[in-house]
Amino acid sequence: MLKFILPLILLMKFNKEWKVSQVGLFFLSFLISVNCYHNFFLFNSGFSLGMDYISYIMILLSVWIVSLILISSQKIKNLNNFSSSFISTNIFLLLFLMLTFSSMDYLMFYISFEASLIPTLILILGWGYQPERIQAGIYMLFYTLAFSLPLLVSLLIYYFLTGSLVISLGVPLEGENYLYKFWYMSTVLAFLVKLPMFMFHLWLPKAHVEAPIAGSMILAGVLLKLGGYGLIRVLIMFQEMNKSFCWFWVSLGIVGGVYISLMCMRQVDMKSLIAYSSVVHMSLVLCGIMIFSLWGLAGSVILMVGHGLCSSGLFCLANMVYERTGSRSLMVNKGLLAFMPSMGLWWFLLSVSNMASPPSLNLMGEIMLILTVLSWSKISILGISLLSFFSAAYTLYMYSLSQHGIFYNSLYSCCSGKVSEYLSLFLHWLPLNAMIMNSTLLMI
Amino acid sequence: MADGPESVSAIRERAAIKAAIKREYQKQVLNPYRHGSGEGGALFDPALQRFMSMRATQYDFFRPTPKASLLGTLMIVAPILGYGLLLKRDKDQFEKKIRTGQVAYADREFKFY
Repeated sequence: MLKFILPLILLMKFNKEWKVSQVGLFFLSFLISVNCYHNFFLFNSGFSLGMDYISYIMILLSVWIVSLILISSQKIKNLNNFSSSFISTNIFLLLFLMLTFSSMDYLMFYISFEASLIPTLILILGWGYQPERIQAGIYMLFYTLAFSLPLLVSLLIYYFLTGSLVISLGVPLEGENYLYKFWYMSTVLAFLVKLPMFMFHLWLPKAHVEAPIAGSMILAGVLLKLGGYGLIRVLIMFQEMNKSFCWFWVSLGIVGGVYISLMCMRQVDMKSLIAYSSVVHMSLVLCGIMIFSLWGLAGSVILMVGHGLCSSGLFCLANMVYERTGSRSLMVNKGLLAFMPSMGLWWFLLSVSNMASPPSLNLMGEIMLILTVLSWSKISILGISLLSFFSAAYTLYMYSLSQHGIFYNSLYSCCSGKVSEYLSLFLHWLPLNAMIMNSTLLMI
Repeated sequence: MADGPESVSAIRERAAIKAAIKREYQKQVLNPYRHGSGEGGALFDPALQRFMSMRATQYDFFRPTPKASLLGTLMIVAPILGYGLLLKRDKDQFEKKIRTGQVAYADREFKFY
């Protein structure tokens, strides 16, 4: 793992040159993607860091998304809006994310999990646009911190009881009394808030809307997956206890997902719509992880990767429109096919991937998750069908309202799309739609 | 169309307000120095801004009333718990059938994947 982390630390030296950092990050993602023919349970291990099937794809996703962030944030470079600090913040964030995904120790995982919040907060507060970003940063910080402090306590108790916090040596806990239930809840809730789950999702629309494009991309692309990844790792400890609570999480995921997708169709703010759609996808991921089947795990990993690319691309698109029209409102940004015709292609491709159409990774993830939840209980068909239907409904709503129709009369003309923007969207779309051909790279 | 002298004057007033707003809009949209100011995008519409601010700050004006709490409980908490208990019952019944030997060995797992 150090062969990836040390070049990343060295890349911080080049924070004054944007192009060097950009190329360097792409080169780093190439170095990591060379490992795609991994055949071992654990590889690249050393210094209590290592790669697993799941952590490999998550690390690749994070490096890829951060490289795309630097392409999409050209405005910061052009206006010289503290661009060197921006690059340093992004590289720090990437460093903590790589440490989180490759840590083989629960405590190391926890420390880097919490540490990744700070560069995100700096991104939101430093480069965000509205004064509401203070409240958004506070919500994100306190939601995550308040629920993850019990996680720290539970990890320390686990260490005290079993003597080791190494993930691979995780001893499943056996016990049924209320104390074990409390222990389970305090561990799992931390990740459920990060994921986010329906009742605790309030921080997500705020943070996504107020964040700059970099913040939105990294939040939607990777930070939500920290919750899913953490759940996968932590449920090793709570295998027995999870069976008693599975019904509640699946119900929360399904019913919450339906409600949030209905909320999506009421939004007037593009970024808010995409943020709520993230909650819908992640609630399906939650169902898949909690059911403990092999297809559930594989489907949730695939959906996490697909959603990371797709939502990040949609945020890029929303930001491109925002940079041109100065508004995120769907009432102003309508009829964009007449306004920016070539961008309509990317709106279409990413929107249909969002609603899980072939040949996207979202489709494969959703098929696997639908089969999983259905195999677990046939009653879930009602909720799952509603979820799938409304997911297509709100995506179509967003696409047709923003693209079709007469464009807003007072819009000033603008550049249809720079090559860097097309490049960033293409690099979002290509893995999303091509990786389904060789999806054994993603599956467990 | 007009129902009497009162509504005729009301119609005239509304038409006057609308014409004033249109004149203002035409003035701003046809401003020849718009390119020079460097600010692109849509014209600033205070009504739209008020609407967007209202939607953005909806939660700040939320007051927990008994009706709101009842609505929340009935529409959110009850379906989640109810659906969850339905799922739990289904799983418990299946578990009981397995443990009492009523499920054939070939039928124990999902067959469609």
